[in-house]
Amino acid sequence: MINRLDRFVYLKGRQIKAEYRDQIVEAYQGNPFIEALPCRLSQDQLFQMLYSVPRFTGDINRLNSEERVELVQQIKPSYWQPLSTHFERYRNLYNMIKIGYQSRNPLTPIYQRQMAIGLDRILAAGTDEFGRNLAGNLQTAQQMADIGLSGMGKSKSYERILSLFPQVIHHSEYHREPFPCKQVVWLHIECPSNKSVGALCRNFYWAVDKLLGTTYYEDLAEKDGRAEVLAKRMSKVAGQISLGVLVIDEIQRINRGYSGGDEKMIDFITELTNSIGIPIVLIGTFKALYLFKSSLANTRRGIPDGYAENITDRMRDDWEWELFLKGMWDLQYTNKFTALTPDLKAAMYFHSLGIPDFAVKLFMHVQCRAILYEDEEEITVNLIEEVANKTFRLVQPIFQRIRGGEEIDPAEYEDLKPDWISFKEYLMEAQHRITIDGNLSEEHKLILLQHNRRILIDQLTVFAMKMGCSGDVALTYAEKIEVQNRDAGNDIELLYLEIAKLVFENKSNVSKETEEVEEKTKQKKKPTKIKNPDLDESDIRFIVSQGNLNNMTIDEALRDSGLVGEYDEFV
Amino acid sequence: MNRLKDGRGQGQGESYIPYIQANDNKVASEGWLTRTPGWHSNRIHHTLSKYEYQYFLVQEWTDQITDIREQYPLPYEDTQRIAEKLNIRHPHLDGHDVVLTSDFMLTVIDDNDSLNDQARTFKPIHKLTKRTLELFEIERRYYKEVGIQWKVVFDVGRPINLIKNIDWLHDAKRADTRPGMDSEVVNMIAEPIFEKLKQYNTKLSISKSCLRCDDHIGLEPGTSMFMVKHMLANKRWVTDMTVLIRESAPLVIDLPGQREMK
Repeated sequence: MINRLDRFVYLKGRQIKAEYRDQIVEAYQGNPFIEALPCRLSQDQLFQMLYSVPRFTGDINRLNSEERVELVQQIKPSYWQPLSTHFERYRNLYNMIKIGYQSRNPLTPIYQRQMAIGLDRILAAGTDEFGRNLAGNLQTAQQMADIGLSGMGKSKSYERILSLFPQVIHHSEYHREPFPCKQVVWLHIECPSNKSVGALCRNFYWAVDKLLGTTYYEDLAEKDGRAEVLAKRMSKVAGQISLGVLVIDEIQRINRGYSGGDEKMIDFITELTNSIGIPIVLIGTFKALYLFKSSLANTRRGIPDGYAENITDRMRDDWEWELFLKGMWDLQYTNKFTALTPDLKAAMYFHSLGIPDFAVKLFMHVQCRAILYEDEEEITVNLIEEVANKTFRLVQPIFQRIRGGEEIDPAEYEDLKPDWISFKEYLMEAQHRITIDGNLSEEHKLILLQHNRRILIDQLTVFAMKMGCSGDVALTYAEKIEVQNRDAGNDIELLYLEIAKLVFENKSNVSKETEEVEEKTKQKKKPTKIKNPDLDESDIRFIVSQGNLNNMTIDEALRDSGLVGEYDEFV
Repeated sequence: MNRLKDGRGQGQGESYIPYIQANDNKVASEGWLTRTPGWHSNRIHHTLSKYEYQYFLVQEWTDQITDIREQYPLPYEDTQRIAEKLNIRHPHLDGHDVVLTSDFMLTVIDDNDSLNDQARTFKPIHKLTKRTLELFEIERRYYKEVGIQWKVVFDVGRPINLIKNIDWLHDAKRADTRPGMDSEVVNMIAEPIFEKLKQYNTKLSISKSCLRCDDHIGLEPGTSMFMVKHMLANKRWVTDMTVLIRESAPLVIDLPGQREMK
């Protein structure tokens, strides 16, 4: 059971008792859900709340190098420089929540009518041409998408901004009338990796259950259905818990294959906002862009009016970048403080390309390196370059292209990120360096080599699988070939050739062996019984997939091939 | 497994026992367990969903069908072998393989007047998944091997008026289901009731006509209505079954021969 629960990652927030505040906007007055929300923060206040640096008040020079490396490690989790985009996000989010609740005032007759009609029926009926639902209520929910490079701090900023809001507000009395109600202001869920829309829904139920102690997971999670059904069920629950905003993170992880194609994904997402009116924020990397491109082109899909899209590319070399870098630059734990010169600034931008995550990592690595190996603990342009070339070795080629002014599909450099040498490995390697001084560069090479080796094996495995091997077999082939040809260097063509040979040899061997075996068993089995189920043209799965190619639904495909009986075929 | 030893899934007509019965605590996907006395087989039929029940009703109405065996089990060894060959996971419960059943095994009179088994599996369209297709494929292959025609039945395009009408008159098929009735009484009162109803039927609703008829002939109230259902169920009287029968509306009833003449 524990494993099962581990899958679900979600952000947890505060729970508070409701306190009601007067509202300026007339439409908001008398709505306990809105009046219970915290006051809007000004830009200054927000920056005060968000700004954070690792805290250290002692004298750096009295610490030894190991202790200072420990401090360096604190930069990544704690350093947070609020930027203007963060305020924008906050404003958007705050507005979305308020506006979303506007149409859901629990004290109005129309809300009661919705409850009386039943959310099921409202969802089923959809909206009329004015956007009103069955109860005549006009939904005010908005939808927002936040797309950006990984490492831009999207998720982080939402996490920080969301934690400024209470997560659950407990209402008990409103204007001396009893009003027992739990209001869930926000819910942040992450898409499980490479899973379907269904898994996302389960994640949602699980988060709600953890929050409120309900049993939605048990009741609803294992029921399957089409995307529309899942979405309806989910928005129904969201309506029941008076959800303010639903934040779905890592939306790019939803696998198109599992979920029945792009179309269905888009349907699912629009269904969620349309009828019940829950504001939704979708966060994802450029890989998720496909979800939005076509939806925007296609207005009949009923994207709500209040749809906002926020696409973040890497930072430009302007005042914000300077602010970010300056703030970080103060966090030096070297025994000599290096001031930020224009040259250093340029070098940092050049090597990190203005991606905050890269910049922070680079800065940390540079400091580590300075503290552990350099005689003078000083940050220089040369040092930055040296470290960057090592740390970002695998992304260098693409970085070069970007620097060369080439237009690159952002989705392309996405894939490279996981291949960095992580900070831990870097440190591990560093330890070795101190103890076995002479072998430094060899050690370093080894780590890189192993890294490359794994990538190579992956490539070869994929290749072998394309040639029709099963996963396990493909992997053994790939490893074998890689070991045999390690001296051959990086001639990947040669390796592919070798794999191909191996696959063909073994294939013919296998078929010979099976033939021999069959002969030995006294020809009990007829030779036609060669295992190849996929070639049977009357196989239902084949029929359906063929039908799919011709844009037929499953039932149409089956009907077309005469496999469907009508109720009254014998009457 | 033990169910097969209990005689489940075996026999024919009256002696057939469905492999899965409504009282098995089997998870009925739609929560529609029904136990209905059958016309063809003279035994209680078990259907596990609304749509299965409706399909069952239509087959009951059909004269071409002589027996309906629902929840018909496929031989375990065969389905396992097929599943293995296709590299499909055999249906299982908590890791143990379970017997695969087809929803209906129909005995049909074909054009040469000989009896013929045909299998049908019901599936609502929205429940079609990759997995159901795999299970379909196991069934299809099995029935191909044994030479039985097999088809899928979907919930779309079902003749809903016909179904509702059959449901309405289904329990009146046998005269003795109503106290004090038997085939002798039926034969005695059929003609007077028919004559009387013919007089009323253009203006009055069928329920009022029947009550008047009861009153006029001196029968217990409700008898005429039962007679209408009974005679229609046995096809001794006929009406247009594709039009929804409502008790609050007039109903045109004819004798079989007359109707064809019109």
